[in-house]
This record gives sequence, C-alpha cells and structure tokens, in this order.
Amino acid sequence: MKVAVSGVGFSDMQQGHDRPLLSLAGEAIQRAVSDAGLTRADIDGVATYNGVTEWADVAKQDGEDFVSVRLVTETLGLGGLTWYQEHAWGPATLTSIAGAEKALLSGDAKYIVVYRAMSRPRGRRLGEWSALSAGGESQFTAPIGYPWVPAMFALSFRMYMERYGFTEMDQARLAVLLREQAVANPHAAYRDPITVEDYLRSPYVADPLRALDCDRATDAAVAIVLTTTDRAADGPHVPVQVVGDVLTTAASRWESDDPEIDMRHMPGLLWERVGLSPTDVSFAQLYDGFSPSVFTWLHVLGLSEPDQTRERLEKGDFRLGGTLPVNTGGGSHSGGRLHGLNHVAEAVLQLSGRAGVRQIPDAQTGVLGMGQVLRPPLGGPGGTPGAILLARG
Amino acid sequence: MITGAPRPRVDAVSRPFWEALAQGRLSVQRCDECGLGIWYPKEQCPRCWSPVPTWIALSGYATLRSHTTIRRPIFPGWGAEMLPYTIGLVVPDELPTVRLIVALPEGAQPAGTELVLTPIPTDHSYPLLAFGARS
Repeated sequence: MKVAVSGVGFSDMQQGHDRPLLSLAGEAIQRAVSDAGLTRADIDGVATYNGVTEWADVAKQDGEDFVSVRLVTETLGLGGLTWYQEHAWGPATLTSIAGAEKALLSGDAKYIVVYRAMSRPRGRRLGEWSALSAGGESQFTAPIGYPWVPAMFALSFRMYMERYGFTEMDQARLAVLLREQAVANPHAAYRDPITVEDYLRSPYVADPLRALDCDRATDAAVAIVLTTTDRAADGPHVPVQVVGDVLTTAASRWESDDPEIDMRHMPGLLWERVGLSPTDVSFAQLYDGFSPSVFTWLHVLGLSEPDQTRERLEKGDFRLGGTLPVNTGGGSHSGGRLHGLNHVAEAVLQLSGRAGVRQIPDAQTGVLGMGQVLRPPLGGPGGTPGAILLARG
Repeated sequence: MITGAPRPRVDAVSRPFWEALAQGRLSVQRCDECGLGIWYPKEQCPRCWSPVPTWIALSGYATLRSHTTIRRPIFPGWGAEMLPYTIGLVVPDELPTVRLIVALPEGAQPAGTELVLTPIPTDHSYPLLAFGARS
C-alpha cells in the first residue's frame, strides 16, 4: 500500500491585500477537496508548514501573515480531525507530506489536506528587525546586521559557487529559465519574461544574490489532498503516487572543513530508498526560493554535476522539451513564494496529465528536491533538505 | 560608532565572550576533553557532551571564508549613512571549527584574506564584532 495525491487546489493570486490570507487558504483547500471528488465531511487530517519568520523578529498574525491549522478547522468546519500537524522547520510542506503518508498508512486518517498559505507582510518587509535587543543565538548575529535570510544564505552560496565554478552568467540563465517556465503557467504569480540583461541590471540584495535570484512574496495559497492509493483510484483524476521520500539534516558542523556547503548528508539516500536512479525521472521540481539552490539540488540528487549543469543550461536541456525539464511551472522563484508546495502541485498536474500547454509528453515519474541543501554559517533555516519521488498512477 | 542596531541580551553562558570583546579580545570556548573549538557559547561540548567548556583567549587573527554586502536596512534605526555594510564568515587561525559571523568595516575582500579583530564601538556596552586588515 502506498499513498497518492488525489486533488490539487490553487487560490487566486492576489495582487493587493484586500482579501485576508485566511480566505485564500480556504479557497485553495475547498478547490483541492473538490478536485479530489470529496466533500468537507471526508477530510479527517490537516497539515501545514508555518516556518521561517522566527529568524527575524516580526509580528505574525494568524489569518493574515500565516494560517494555522486551528483557523482552517474553524473556518471550514473541519471538526473531529483524527490527525493534524503544524511544524516550523525542515523542507516546508514536504515534512507535512511525509507525516501525512505515515498517518494514512497507519490508518490514523483517510483523507488529509496539506496546504501552505503565504502573504506579503503588511506594513513592513519580511525579515525587518524591530527589537532593540537580541538574545539567544541572535545576540551574536543581530548586532552585525546578519539575521536577514538572503544575507545568511548569500555567505553559503558564494562559497558553493566559488568552489564549483558557477558565475553570474549561470545565475542569469537560470533566472531567465525559471521565468520562462512560469509564462505558460496560469497559477504562477510572475509571468513577464525576463532577459539576461534584465538579470544583470537587477540590484544585489546580498551579493552574490540579486533581486532576480529571489522568489517573491505573493498573497496566495495552494493545497493538495492525500489518501491511500486504493481510495485515490476512486477519484476523478489519475492519482499521483508517493513512491518514496526522505528527510535529512546536515552533518554536525565540526565534521567538515566548510560545513556551510557540505552536502554529504543527502546523496543516494532517496534513490536507495526507492530503488530507482536519477535517469528514471521525466522531470525535476527543485526548490528555488533562492534560484542557485537549483544548482545544489541538481548536484546533490545526482541529476547533473556542476560542469554539466552549466553546459545543459546553455543548451536548454532544462526547458520544457529538453532532456530534463526543471521547475516546469516556474517554481517558487517565478510562481510565487509558497515554499515549494507549488512545486508539488505542478508535479501532480504533470503526472496526472493535467498540465495543459506545459504538459511533458508521457510524464511517468518526477523527483522533487525541497528545502535548502546549503545552510548558513549560523542560525537561519537550511541544511534540512528533503526529496520526494512521485509517479503517475 | 555603530548606532541603531540591536544590542545583545548577554546571558550567563555568553557573558565571558562579550566581556572579553569589550576589552578588545576574542575569547571562545574549547572543550577540555576532546579539544573541539566551540561557537557560539554553550554549556556542553556538542561533540563529546562534556560539561562547561573552558574559555580561551585567541590571538584575534582569522581568515575570511565568505562575505556579502547588504544595501538596505534591516533595522528601522539604521539610517542611509550605515549603508551599505559588509558582513563576513571568518575562521580564527587557532580553531577552524569556530566560524564567526563578523562585520567587515573595510568592505568586501576575497576569500583567504587574512584579518585581525578590530572591534567597533557602539551606542551600548558591547562593541561590534568586527575584523579588518592585518597591519
């Protein structure tokens, strides 16, 4: 017995702030449940990921900045749950999916909704630090102006790119590719094509990261429904099976000369677990909150070594129609900041044959790399990669 | 002088670091049992779990591993005169497992640049952990 994704739902992408985030979460969940051919009464499990903002001391308002499981159950009348999960660390909603998988296989729940809702912060910028003092780990970083997620990762990305020979032209080609993939995706937030020149004109936010290396916040939500494969077979769409998944954390820092870019904790684990190899996949959806993460994911999953990656980017291998299409809906980079659940939704649409003009012919198996492979030198998210393999049917 | 940045909430475990820095010295912990250099301050060695690692004074000499320059304020109190600012990852010569996030008031420099502790005064009791060129 395995589990499968039987429904997908996207909220509208809100450009202003008029509708509260809670409404968008409700909209995405209702659409996912309906897409799975189910109703409110079928849902007995709910999970989400509400991480990230603890790295900066910003006020968080439930229903506006994030949406808790509690608010979802109240709003959508999901009483009597027999399983739920809300966590703040790890590869975002991949952790929710891995948890849901175990709950479904144990029989704790029959139909589980996994959602992620994110908004642009109101009246301030994400990561802005308002406190006059900083304690705990942040006492060593806040006085220096470090605890801002792009700054944290910039230090590690510079080390990775220097070691493996990536340049700003590689970053430019990747950003152009991710935007190109979003153009054909009606669920993507940012769909105007960009050029290499646009990229090179894009301001640095924390070098080597430019604005066009970063995903952008949006007001949106996405949801999926998971159930066991036997139940999913009764649904209206081709189910998409979870073949296997793996969650890992980085090695202890003293075990490496450069622990920020040490990736030894990941290689092979997923493929060993599922008994497949990187050549067996039709596409890859790789977390791209900062687009150079795609380089690290291609590398660590054994899909493409750095030298090959540079060549294949130039040749167009990662485009739709290429030998290994990557982030076929524009990822989070151009799809909107939804911490990778939009990658999962895109993979499900591809594998159930519902990706419209983006459809990869005969897509049978797709791999997802979620979360950050690299980690900052101190604090911050990262170093908690997870991967999942999905297959049609 | 740095103004408008959060001041550290110094605690029982971190106090020796901050008091040393206030006197212009870099002090970190090293495990008595296994010799691991430890950052940031802890009450146990993360490797062998021995209690209360000993504080040792370092030379202040360190090597730059990585850097980034920030061009927008993350603190509302940082005016335009504070921007841009550069931060770096430096590794003290004596203890490579100690990986410090520091201010680089002299700006971006290549990985491998040899630096020395140069604390900068602030508007509170503790200076900024900063590194500059070795003279």
